[in-house]
Parts: sequence; C-alpha cells; structure tokens
Amino acid sequence: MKSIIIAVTGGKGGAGKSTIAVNLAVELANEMRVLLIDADVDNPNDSTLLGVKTIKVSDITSFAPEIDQFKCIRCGSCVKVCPEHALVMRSGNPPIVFVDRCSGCRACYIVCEAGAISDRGKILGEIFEAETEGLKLIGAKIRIGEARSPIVVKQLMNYVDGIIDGFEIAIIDTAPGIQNTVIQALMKSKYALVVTEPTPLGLYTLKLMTRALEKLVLPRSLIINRSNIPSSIKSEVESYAKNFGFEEIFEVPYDESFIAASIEGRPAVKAYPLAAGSKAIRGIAEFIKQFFNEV
Amino acid sequence: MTREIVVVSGKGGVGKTTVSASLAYYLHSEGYSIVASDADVDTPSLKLLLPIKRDVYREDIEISTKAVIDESKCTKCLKCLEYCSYGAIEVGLDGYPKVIRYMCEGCGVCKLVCPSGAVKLVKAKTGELVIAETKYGFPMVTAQLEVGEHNSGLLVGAVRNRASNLSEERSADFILTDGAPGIGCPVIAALVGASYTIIVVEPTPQSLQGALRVKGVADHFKVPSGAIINKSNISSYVNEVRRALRASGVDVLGEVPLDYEVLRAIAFRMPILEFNRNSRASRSLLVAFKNLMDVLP
Repeated sequence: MKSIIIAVTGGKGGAGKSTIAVNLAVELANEMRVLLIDADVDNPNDSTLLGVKTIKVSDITSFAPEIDQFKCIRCGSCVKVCPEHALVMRSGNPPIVFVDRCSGCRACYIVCEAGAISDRGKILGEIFEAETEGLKLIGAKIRIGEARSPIVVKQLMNYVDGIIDGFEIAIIDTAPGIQNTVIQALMKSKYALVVTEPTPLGLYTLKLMTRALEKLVLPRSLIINRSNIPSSIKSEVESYAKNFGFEEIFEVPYDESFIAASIEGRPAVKAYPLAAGSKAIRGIAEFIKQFFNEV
Repeated sequence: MTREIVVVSGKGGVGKTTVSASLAYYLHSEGYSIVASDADVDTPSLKLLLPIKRDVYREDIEISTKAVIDESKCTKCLKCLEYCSYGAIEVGLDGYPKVIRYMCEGCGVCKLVCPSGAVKLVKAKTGELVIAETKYGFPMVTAQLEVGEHNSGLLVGAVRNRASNLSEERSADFILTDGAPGIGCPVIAALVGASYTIIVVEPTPQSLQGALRVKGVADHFKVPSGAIINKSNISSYVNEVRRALRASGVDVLGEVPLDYEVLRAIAFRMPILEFNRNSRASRSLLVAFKNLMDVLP
C-alpha cells in the first residue's frame, strides 16, 4: 500500500494554507482514504474549520530533571554541562532546576555520578485527533508558554509514521515560515502546494519558500489565493513562479462564502459547493489525484 | 525611559505588519524618537512597508551550535543516536551515525556519551542581522533566519539587543517591534520584558483562537496587552470576538474596517497612515493609536 504526503505550505501567515488544506482534504476524501495533519502546532486551526471536536490521543513530553537532595553530592557537574543554564547551584546546596529553561537533553542525568537525577517529565503539548467528513484529522498543539515547537512537531511526525499506512494520501498543513517545523513537514512530503497571496508581502515570502524548496529538491505547484483582490500583483507572482520551477499555477478567487464557512465551521466545498473558491479547490484536487496515480 | 511595544497575533496574516508599519510612522510623526525592529526573523516583512534608504550594518549571527562526527574516530557504537533527545542522529547506509543538521540543538549530549571522542561541537550560522536606515531617518533592525533553523529565539534576542543598544545611543522613546505569528520560541523571545503588546485579531474563530493563545503567553510573561480588531466589518463574528476579549480582560484599542486602500498602500510599499491618512483604515488606526498612548504603562 502506498501512502504519500502532500504539503500545503507557503511562508506567509494567513495566506490561506489551512483553508485550502482542509477543503482539499475533504474533497479528496470523496474518493480516497485521507489523513489531514495539522502541523501548525503553535496555532492549529483545522479542527475549527471542520467544526469538529478533537480528542487528546497523548501528551507530548520531554525529559526534565528531578534532583534527589539526599543522593546529590554537590559536585556541580550537572550545572556545568547544562547547555541551557537551567540548573543553578548556590554554595553548599543541591542545584535548583528552572524547568522553563530545560530543553530535555538529559546531559545532567548523564553526567551525574551520584545517580541523584531522575526524570520528572515535562509536558510540552498534546497530540489530538478527530474523524469527520470521511477523513481523519491528526494534529498537535504546544502548551502555552512553551517554546519548543520543533520537538512537538517531531513527536507528531513520529506518531504519523505509525498510522500512515492506513491511508492513501495525507495532506499536511504546515506552520508559516521556513523554519524548522516547516522543513520537518516538507522533508516527509512528496509534493508541495505553496499558497500565497498576490501582494508584495506574498511574493517576498514566496521567494524565501522557493529557496527552501530548492534545497529540498521538492516538486511544487503554486496556489495564488484571493487572486482577484484589488491592487493584485498576480502577473508578477506568476512570472516568478514560472521561472522558479513551479509546475502548475492555480488560482483561488476571493470568496466571501469562504469566510462564512470558516465562521460556521463547515468546509466550504461542502457548505458552498457552487462558490468559485470551491470550484477552484476541486480543480486542485483533480491535479493531486492525477499526481497520486502517476507516483 | 525607552518603552518597547510588540505587535503579535497568534494567527498569521491578520495585519501585524500593517499595524506595525503605521504605528512606527505614527510615533515618528508625533515627534518621538523610535527604533523599529522585526522579530519575525523567519519571514521578516516590516522592511517591505517601511521604506529603506540604505543598509548601514550587516552581520552573520553564529549563535547556533551543531554536532559534527569525525568518522575516522567513530566506532559505530551508536551511543550518540541512543542518547539524542531530538532525533537528530540517524544511521547512514555505511553504518556510521549521521547528524541531521537542521534537527540538531547543539546540546552536546552526543559528545558527552561518545566513548571515542569522535564528536565535535561547532558554531553555525543562525542567520543574518541587518540594521537599516529608513527613509524617515529612524533605524530598523531586522534579521533573516537560515532555512530550517530552529534557534529563532536566539536570533530574536540578537535583534532585540541591537535595537536596545541603538535606542540607548539615541535616547529613543520607543522600540516598536513587529512580532512573528504563533506562540512559540520567537514570540516568547520578543515578548519577555516588553512594556506592552498589541494583539491584532480579525473576526474569525481561527484568529480569535490565536489571539487568546498569544494573550495566554503575554499573561504568562506578565506583559500587559490590548487588541486591535482588524477587518472588523467582514463578519458578525466580531461580536463574539469583542465578548471573548472582554471576558479575557483584553482592552480593545480600536477596530479597523476592511479597506482596499490598505492593499493599495501595500502595493506601493508604504504604511497606510502615510499613503492615505483620510482612508477609513487610517482614521480607525489613529483612534486606536491614541487609545494606546493613553493606556501604555
């Protein structure tokens, strides 16, 4: 059984990644077994666009040290080795742990000769899932105040590895940008659908994203979202995409029914199947099906 | 004393940069001395809306650390792989452990456990920092993270340091920072110790959720916050947004209706406030900024 991952990504925040990922997944689910992965762990949105309640599958945890005051010999090796300066020792006392700073690397645990350090664990976030519209949604969200999104995405992707065989196609909705969590998602993907908007801000981030995709040698197509907005620089975006290896250029016009659908919590392709945006999504779905059949 | 205002949103694309550029322009035109900075080091775009006269300083920032394995010393025991908490080491086809550079946190545990001294830690480029002079005369500090990097917080820290140095030199009244989307590393790095944060939100459930999550981060780090509701007239969900913000104790500084003049301003690469001061968006932003000046600590 082959299962392939398609990334919906794009650099710029708010360009329409989640809207397009969700509607594309719902459309594909008419004919295929579809997994939708929400990998924007800072701000996962797909469940609200689908109007579905998620349930927690598991916590995402990392190591955090607990120091046994009686076993500790006050040697200070753990304090010296900690790359995050999360351990502080005042003379004569066992070290104090600043858990917020701890990155979970275990260096302190490894160097402690007295065996005084154990793992008290620290929750970074959680993995959640839901089933709706004939597809399965899986995603993760980071706990508020926690900084380590890369580890949350890493554990989400490990979880996905364990279940992906049950699906023909997975759509992964990435975070904005070209930072680590986005690259992790792209590394797992066979194809990238890059969503942008026809503005100077959209074009600028498209260029950054293209640099990343060239490094990863990932085949790609472009989706120009809200292609018909006033002051659009669509033709400039198109000519850039043609010069930089984008196979197809799709357009999704600005469509008020998509805003309505996002508030109602129903995917637009189901709630407003006749809307121009829904029609555009069906065109992209056809392209993906063809890609799937050729792989 | 310099006050530092950070513009955030949780969800991307709701108008952070539009608000930041206009606020910088507003503070400048009110006669304040300011330093602008872009803490969205992943996709820095403030420079697209605040015209740059010239770059005055450039520096490669090398604050990341990466593990490198010397295969001539490696015995393939794979202890490094076993102990790496970040999944940053995998076995190559030749049986040697390979460091996946973009996953490596540089914590040094692999070096610690390697019995044959085959692991070295080397400094690596995190990104590039640029100080530019805007056409208004005030400086702007920006940075660009390397593709796939994860130390964005460190780079944001470098941006803030520079901005803070510049503001001391110039006895600036304000540092105005355009934040990143999300609630993770770069956002926390930008918020900690700031005087005030503006949360930009639009009337959709997705944006409200992001706004409330980032409000949680601001509270966690004890940074006072207020909201600007952008594109406030695109849906009646604005009532729910107002209600939820009130319930979370967020003051609404102002509401800015959807205005295609904003798109024209972006196309001309100018703050909307400078491009068309009489536009609906500008008039609403002015109200919000005046309210901001009243509530700033």
